[in-house]
Amino acid sequence: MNAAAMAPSATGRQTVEVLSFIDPSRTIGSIETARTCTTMADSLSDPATWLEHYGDALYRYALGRLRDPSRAEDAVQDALLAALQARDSFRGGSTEQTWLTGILRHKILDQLRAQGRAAERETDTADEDELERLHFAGTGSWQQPAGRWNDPEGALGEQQFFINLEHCIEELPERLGQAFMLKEFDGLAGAEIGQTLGVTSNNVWVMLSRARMRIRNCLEHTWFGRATR
Amino acid sequence: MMNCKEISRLASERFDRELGLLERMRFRMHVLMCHHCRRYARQLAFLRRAIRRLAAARATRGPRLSAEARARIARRLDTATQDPR
Repeated sequence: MNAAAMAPSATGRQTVEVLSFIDPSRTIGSIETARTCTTMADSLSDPATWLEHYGDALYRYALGRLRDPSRAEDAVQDALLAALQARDSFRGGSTEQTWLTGILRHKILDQLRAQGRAAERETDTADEDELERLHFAGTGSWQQPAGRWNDPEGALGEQQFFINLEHCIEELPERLGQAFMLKEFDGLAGAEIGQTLGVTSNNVWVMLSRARMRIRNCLEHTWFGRATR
Repeated sequence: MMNCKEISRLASERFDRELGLLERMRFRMHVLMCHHCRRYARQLAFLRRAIRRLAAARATRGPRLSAEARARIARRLDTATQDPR
C-alpha cells in the first residue's frame, strides 16, 4: 500500500506522487490522475470541471432519492450553484466529491421535507395495505405465503438480477421508495427519515416493512418465478 | 401470541430498530414453528444483502446525466461564474 501526495495542476488533472507506505520520504513513482480520485483534497478544482467529473455520480445520487429525472437534474444544478457560492468555505479534509454530495444531500432533504409537509399522509400508513391484504387473512395468518426461491445465492452473481432489483425499487410508490432509499442507501435512522418525510418513526418502520414486502413480491414475480409453495 | 402479519412486520423492523427482549423471543419462537414466516424472514435478510451490493455498485455505474441536461447545467454554471459575487 502506498500513501499519495497530490500536486494540483492548472489543467484540472494532477500529478500524484506515490510514496512508500513504509518510508514516506521515499517516492516510488508518480502517476497523473484526474481530480476524481478519492484522495483528500486541500483545495477545490476549477468549478468548470465539476460537472464533467462528478455530474453523473451526483445525478445518480439525486435520481435515487427524488425518483424523477427532471427533478434530479434540477437538484444537481442547484447543488452545483450552491457549491459555487460556498466554495470559499471548503476547508479540505474531505474529497471534493464528498463535499459536493453533502451539498446535494441537503438540497434533496429540503425538497423532500417541503413535499412531506404537503403530501397526503394517510395513504402511507393506512391500517391496511393492498399487498398485506393479499398476503394475510383477516386473522393475520398467511393466505398467500412467500414462495420458495430457487438459488438466491446464484442470483447475487448475476448482473441482470440487480437490474431487476433496481426496477423493483423504482416501482415502489413514491414515498415508500423515498423512505426505503433514505434508509438503505443513505443509512438514515427512522427518526431522521420521519423528520424528512413528516411522519413518526413508527410510521417509517411500517413504510419500510411495506416497501420490503413489495420488493420481495416483485422479485418473486420477475426473477424467482411463482415457484411451488 | 403474535400472528403472522405481526411477525412479518418484526422480520422487517429488526433491520431498522433494536427489538425488545420480548419481541425477540416471540419472533424466534414463532419462526421456529412457522415455516411461512421463517421463509419470509430469510428472504428479507437476503434482500438486505442484495441491496447492500446494489448500493455499492450504484456508486460507479447506472444512469447518466443526459447531454441536454449537462449542457443546460453547464450554461447555468457558466452564467453564475461570470456574475460578480
